[in-house]
Amino acid sequence: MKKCRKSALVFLSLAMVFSLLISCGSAADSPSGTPGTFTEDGQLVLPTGVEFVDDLVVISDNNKFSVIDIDNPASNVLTNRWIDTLVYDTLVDCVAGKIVPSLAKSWETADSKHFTFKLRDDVVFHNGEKFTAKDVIYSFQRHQAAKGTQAYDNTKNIETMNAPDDYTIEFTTKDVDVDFLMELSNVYTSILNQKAIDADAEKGAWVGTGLWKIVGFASNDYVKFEVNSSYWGQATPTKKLTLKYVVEPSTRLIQLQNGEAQACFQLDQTDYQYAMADPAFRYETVTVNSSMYLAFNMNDKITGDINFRKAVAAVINRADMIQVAQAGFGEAPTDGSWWGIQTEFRNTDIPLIKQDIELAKEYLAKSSYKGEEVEIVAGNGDWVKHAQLAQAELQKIGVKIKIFQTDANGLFAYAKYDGNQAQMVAYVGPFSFSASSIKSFLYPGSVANRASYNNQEVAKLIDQATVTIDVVEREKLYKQIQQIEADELPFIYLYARTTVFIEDKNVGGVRLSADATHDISRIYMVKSK
Amino acid sequence: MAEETTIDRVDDSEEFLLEVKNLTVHYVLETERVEAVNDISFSLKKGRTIGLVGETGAGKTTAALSILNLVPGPLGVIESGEIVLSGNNVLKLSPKQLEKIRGKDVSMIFQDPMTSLNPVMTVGDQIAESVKLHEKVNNAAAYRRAMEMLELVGIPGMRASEYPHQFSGGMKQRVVIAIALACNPKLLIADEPTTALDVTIQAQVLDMIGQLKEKFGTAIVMITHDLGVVAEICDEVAVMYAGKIVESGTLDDVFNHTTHPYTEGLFYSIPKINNKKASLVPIPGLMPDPTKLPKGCAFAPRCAYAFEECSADKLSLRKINQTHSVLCRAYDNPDFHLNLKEGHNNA
Amino acid sequence: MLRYVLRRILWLIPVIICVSFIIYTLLSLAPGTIVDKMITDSTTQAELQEIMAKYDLDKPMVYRYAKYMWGLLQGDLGTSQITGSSVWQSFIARLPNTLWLALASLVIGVGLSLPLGILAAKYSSTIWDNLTTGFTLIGMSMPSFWLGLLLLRWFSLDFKIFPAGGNAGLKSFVLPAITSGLMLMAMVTRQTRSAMLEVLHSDYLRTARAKGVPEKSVIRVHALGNAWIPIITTIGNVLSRTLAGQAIVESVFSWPGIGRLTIEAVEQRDVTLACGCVILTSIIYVLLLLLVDIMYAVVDPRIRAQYQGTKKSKKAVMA
Repeated sequence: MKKCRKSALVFLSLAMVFSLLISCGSAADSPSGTPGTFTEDGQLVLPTGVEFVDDLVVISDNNKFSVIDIDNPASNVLTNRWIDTLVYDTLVDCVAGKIVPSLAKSWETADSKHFTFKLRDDVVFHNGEKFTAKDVIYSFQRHQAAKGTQAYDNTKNIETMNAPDDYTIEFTTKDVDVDFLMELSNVYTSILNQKAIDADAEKGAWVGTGLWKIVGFASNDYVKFEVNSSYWGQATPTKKLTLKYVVEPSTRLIQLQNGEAQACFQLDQTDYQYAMADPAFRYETVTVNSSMYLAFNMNDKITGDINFRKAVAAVINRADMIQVAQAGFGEAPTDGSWWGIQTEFRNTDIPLIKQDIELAKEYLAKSSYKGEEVEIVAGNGDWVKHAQLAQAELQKIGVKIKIFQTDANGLFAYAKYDGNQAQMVAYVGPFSFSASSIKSFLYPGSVANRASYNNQEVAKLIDQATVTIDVVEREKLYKQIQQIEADELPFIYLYARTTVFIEDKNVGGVRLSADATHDISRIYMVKSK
Repeated sequence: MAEETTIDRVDDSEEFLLEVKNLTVHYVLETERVEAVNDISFSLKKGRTIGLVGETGAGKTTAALSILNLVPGPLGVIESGEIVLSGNNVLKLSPKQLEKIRGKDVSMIFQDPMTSLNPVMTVGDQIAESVKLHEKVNNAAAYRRAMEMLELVGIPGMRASEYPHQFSGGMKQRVVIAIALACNPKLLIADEPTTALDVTIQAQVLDMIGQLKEKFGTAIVMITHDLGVVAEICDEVAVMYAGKIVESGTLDDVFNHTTHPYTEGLFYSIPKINNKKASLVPIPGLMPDPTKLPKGCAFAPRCAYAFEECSADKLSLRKINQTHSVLCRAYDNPDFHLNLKEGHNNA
Repeated sequence: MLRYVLRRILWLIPVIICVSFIIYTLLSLAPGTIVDKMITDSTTQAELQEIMAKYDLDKPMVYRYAKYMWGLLQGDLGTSQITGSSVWQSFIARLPNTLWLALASLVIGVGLSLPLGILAAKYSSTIWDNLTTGFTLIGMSMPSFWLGLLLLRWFSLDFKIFPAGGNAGLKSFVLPAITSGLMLMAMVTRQTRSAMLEVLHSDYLRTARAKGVPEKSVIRVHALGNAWIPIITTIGNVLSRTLAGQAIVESVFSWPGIGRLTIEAVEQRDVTLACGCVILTSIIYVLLLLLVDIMYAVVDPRIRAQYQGTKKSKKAVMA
């Protein structure tokens, strides 16, 4: 008996010392700085001396959290982006516009055509398999096979992939690709595990290297996560996370207020007021690069006329639109360029066309408009409000507007480059940080070219810019493109959208990003006394 | 006070089985009052049959329903009177006590056989239900009894498992009678039981009622507007007009020694099979509005013999002999008589 | 009786054909296809054509419909174009949720409405009846959306008794069940009341009373027994609607049911899934109606005789 007790004591004390060491270790993990903020290389500063809540629930609407199926990257449904930041890692990350290491610890390239990456050797997948260069090749091959997806777009330029050893990987791109690293940092270019997918065709893709493991999923309902305790990067105090899709904004508000959910993306305009007035909540906003714009059908008799377009540009009231459609959340531009507000090389020299009714009337008189009815195609929800406001403004100069309202899929179908059926359309343009993203909107023949804009000079300039390595030269080219755009006005930039994130006042650790790849993987909640 | 559920049944063959004393029943509507039954009295001995005769709207059905205290409330109000059945005042019994005597001591059958039966219950079950309510027997025995009753009314017992819609009108009425007599009641109230049936069936049903009366010694209150039916099976007659009994007596009294002008008018209205050339003599005018009954004799406006005092004020019953009474002021004059030539039993 | 049931089930075939054709045509005519959400802004025209070919969207609608019907004939509802998983699986995964909700609404609705309706009829024209009528009018006019949010506000927020939606166990079941149950109750109460009122004036009730049947039994057995037909009809109607997916209640409470599934499929232009959902829902509806008709036969022997054919009933009348 005595012997047992003695060994028990020894064991206990050893355990205590051990756990002390561990906790000391985690304290050292957390960098110094203001609690709740991120450091330059993406580490989160955690508050000290507090207890954290184990189980958190984040809710949103169907644009974000309605996950129909989890199989990144085979599906391009926007909602998977949220899963991806939680479950997988990419080779590199992009923090505040800068490329930082992730699964790759270092890289080099001499000509932006041949790239070599050195990978971490301490990363383990959720199923216990070690991460090697072979997984990178497998994942990228999978991406390249999935035509039509964002992952495909990011990897289609890769010509060869080679792994000289387990932790080195070499790429060659078909053309010079100045944005290659940016593309690799995109959340859709995530790394999957071949063994897992081979073993389980249905759920194999759930396995990643990221901070969170998927433990439960109900299509279009919720996804449940558990923290990956053997994560290679910084640990997080939260143990369980659930992302839930709640259909009605009022229900979301109620779930926030009664504590069922601790954070929420996207409420309705009226509901925002309650949440923001409630001292139990905080809210964060970020102006994303996604912008509302009006596109004209350049092939149409009326809207193809430059004077008509100029008349519309002179009549639009951006402040009203932001107020009515987004409850005041939005950033109006200060210059006249049609460009992402955070995208590089924005040409701020172009003057903004301010609202001037008399000037608008002048332009209209010069145009070939004879009082016909012009149709604006707009989507449901707050999108149609833009069309309604435009209608009201245009009425002041005598332009008759008819609004055709349809849902998202209909909108896609109406305003396509080929067979564009919309004279005017109110749309959202998801620009990225890199200027080359403009190609999809301006290039003739591109699916997303909603104005059927066919300008060969612009096309040439874009092709040139994509392969220009020198930054100064590139900037000149893109600014030139913007000038042509401003002269021809195929699009009118309305405003940049703002994402509003409401959270319990004890919640922190959410990193909103201007390119809308919001990272909630480090969300935490301090237990209130 | 706890509800009384026991009944004391007085069974004295000499005494009256049923005594209706000064019964007044009105229907009280929001703006008017329908004076359906006004101060009627009659009585019936064990095994006897009384015919309650009158036109539609005379108050016969209301009077009959009162005997079971089934006048539909809340509009129907029994203003005053007593109905003594086997020594109990029906009008003062509790609902539970009433449920005990209905179907057991007194049964009622109604005019329209097509709607009197529950369409979703077998006829056997409907008869057995009555049996189970009043006798202490199990389901099987009750059902057997139901089959016996069907045989008694001339329907094969096997048909107890069938539903009312599978029977014709006459057979339905026979089922109704079977239900009514299942527990061997001492009194049966029959409210125009043959009116809805065609003549040949009518004869069958009347015949059967007569046979059952013989077999079980049931007293019957037969409500009808058909004097022929009265002549068939009634021992006594009470003629009703505007809620009052204007003449009552034995069959011989009323038929052969008719006293009331209204009764006379009724007899005149019957076509005479022997005299095909004669014209019908209807009673002129219509029965008065029961919400606006006149002060004096209600029949006076239509009466050929009426004089001023008839309409003046309330009449009182005049006894002609031990069994025969009449409600008519004309008989104040001892020489008064009607113009009837002979008795109408021969007509 | 069996033959009657079989005949009714055979009617399912033309129903399925009609329904699938209508839905397929309508959805194909709507602007936009499923492919629109599957591409990025940088997808080239060539790639777009490739993807469209994968889903046969470059072929005429008739071709796709024929392919679909051929699959249907073999009992294959197809795979959802967006998830890649079988339509049957998606539907079945959600069907129990809707079934449970429908059952709960039925229990609450009918359980409360029958006694209410009976009492309202029995004490008709009294204050009780007027209250019931007012209550049912409110119940029927009130949009379920609004009622659902009200209940959420009171019981989920103010009193914190029930969770606000989702499908996390029994507790989250209560509020949606009450919402759709109350709707059901309003309609069935009205119908029960009218049916009972009609029946209460029947002669056979008078016969029953004259037999000495206690008043309670007169109402419960004799009156109610005859009032079933209109009541069952109403229950059948309302239940069919509930089962077909109370899309609104499911939206307010984020209840993962088949109503929401169908709407989402239509929004995505996932024709296979939408068609499959509507077909399956129609089947449920038809079967429910059949059940209602069978219930008629159970409560009313006259209808039972009808179903059994004329031979038997003729024999009976002749006797």
